[in-house]
Order: sequence, then structure tokens, then C-alpha cells
Amino acid sequence: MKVFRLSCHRFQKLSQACEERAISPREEQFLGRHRESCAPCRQSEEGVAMALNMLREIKLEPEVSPQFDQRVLRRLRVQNSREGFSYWSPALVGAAIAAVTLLGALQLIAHSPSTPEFSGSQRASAKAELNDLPLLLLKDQERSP
Amino acid sequence: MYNVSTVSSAYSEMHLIPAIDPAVQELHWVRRCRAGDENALTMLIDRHRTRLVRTAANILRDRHEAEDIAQEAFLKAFREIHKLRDDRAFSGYLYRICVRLCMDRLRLKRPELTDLDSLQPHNDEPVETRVVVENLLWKLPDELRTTLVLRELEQLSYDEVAVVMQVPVGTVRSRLHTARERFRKLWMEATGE
Repeated sequence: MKVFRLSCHRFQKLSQACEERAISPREEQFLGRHRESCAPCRQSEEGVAMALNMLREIKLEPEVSPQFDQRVLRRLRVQNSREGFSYWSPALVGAAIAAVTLLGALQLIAHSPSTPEFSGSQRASAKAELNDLPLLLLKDQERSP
Repeated sequence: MYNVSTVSSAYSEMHLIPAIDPAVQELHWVRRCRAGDENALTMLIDRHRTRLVRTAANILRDRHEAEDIAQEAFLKAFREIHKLRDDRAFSGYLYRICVRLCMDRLRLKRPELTDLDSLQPHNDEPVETRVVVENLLWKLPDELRTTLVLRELEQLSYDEVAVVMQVPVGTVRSRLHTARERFRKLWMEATGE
């Protein structure tokens, strides 16, 4: 287990600061001395350097396809036309046609002959037929075993 | 809308500028782009596409997806170019959009880590190393991973990373420290060193 000292903290801060600014000779000396005296910091620094080297090795340098510019320009034109009326007009015409058709259909339904109406006797006979039905089924069930 | 009719007249003008400072040149293109000049747009795409695709590829680890994201970044940048307060900041603005789109994609995408045992025996060791490192990268949280990639692979300065990721430089510093330390630990665990 590493004992974290104040100088270790300073070492870490300074070793990161090297990337952003030029460090003074005094700071450089401190880094050197700490590296020699503190094995965990030295190992950690070496480990980071090694892992980052591996990371840099997998850097991708992809070739951009020759149609890239054309694709962007085409998409941009589509995008611009979408914002304009010309893009939406076919959809609006389609919606209008659908609305007219729907209205026509509703009119036809409204004026078609209404659903058949039954007289009182017809209703009574239908009811009787329905009442008979479960009875017949029960009889069938009794016979079946 | 981009006016194609202005292209031919602007094209000759564009090629007179390269002797000037690239930043001034870019400023000129951004202004023309705002005015709807498609040629200026092509110039901006030409300048930034390689780096943008590479950045996206290194964050997403997928070349095809990277092209798609780069295209989306250009579209979004051109569509919202009126939101850009300082024309000189176009480059940072474009990369910011690209990185944000990559982060969004990363949230949706969590590939199954490649099992080393499933790999065919290979004489070429770097292939295995590549798989190990890529798997380790996926184990880092998105913010740490992106910060690490921007700094270590794209070689952006701390300030540039801060601009692109829209965080203070102090946050970049601490994220980078954490990312490196975690990556080192993961690497040590994976290689048994």
C-alpha cells in the first residue's frame, strides 16, 4: 500500500503541469529527486507513459470518402428545401385528397339505408330461438359421454 | 439557402486568398457562407473534413460512423451559423458540435467487448494489443474517454479541449488526471503487469 506524501501530491501536480507550461529548473530538480526517492510515483509515471503509448498506437487515420463533400452539400440542399413550402406541398396535396375522400365516405354512410329494424313479433321469435340454443347444447353434451 | 449562381464568381476570388493568414481566410469564408455562398461552404468542408472525421473516428472507434457524424456536424454548423457570435470561432464551434454528436452517439452505443479468447491465433501481436486497448477505452466513462482521446490522440491543448467540451480548464485537468490513472490501472490489470 502506497503511503501518499505531500511531496507525492506535488510531484503529480508538477508532472501534469509540464504539459501545459515550461517548468522552472528548480521544479525540474524536484521531479528528478522525487523520481529517485519514491518508487510508487516512479512506477505510476512509467505505467501511465506505457499505457498512453499503447493508446497512441491505436490512433485511427481514416481516409475520407471522395463523395464526402457532395454528400454534405446534397444533405444541405435537402435540409434547405425541407424548410421551404416546396418540400411540404406534395404532402399537403395528399392530405387534402385524403380529407375529401373521408368526407365523401362519411356522406355515403350517412345517406345509406339504415340498419334493419325488427317488429315486436320478430324480436320475440329471435329471443325464443336464442333461449332454445343452450338447451340443445346441453342435450348434446348429455348424449356425448 | 445557398445560391449556386454566386459560386463561379466567388471561386476565383477564393483562390486569391491563400497567400493570406489561414485564420483570415477562414473568416472570409464564414462570412461568405452566412451570405449563402455554396463555394465558401465547400472551402470550409475541405479545410475541416479530414480532422473532423479523424476526431470522430478516434472517439467512436468506427470509421463509417465517424463520416456520418462529421457530415451531421457540418450540417448542424451551417444550419445554425447565425448563432455563431464570433466568426473567428467557427473552427471551435464546429468541433464542439462534432464532439457533442459523438458523445450523444456514445451514450446510445455500447459495443460488446471483444473477448480475446475468441480471437483467432494471430502472429501479428499489435492486433491483440489493439483489441485490448480498445476494450479498455470502452470501460472508461464517456467524458473521461473523450477527454483522453482529444488530448492524447488529437493532441489538443488543455484550452482547446476545454473549448470543445465546454468545460473549464480545471475540469479538463482533473478529468485527464483521472482518465490517465484509470487507464493505467486497467492496462496493468489487463496485461498483468
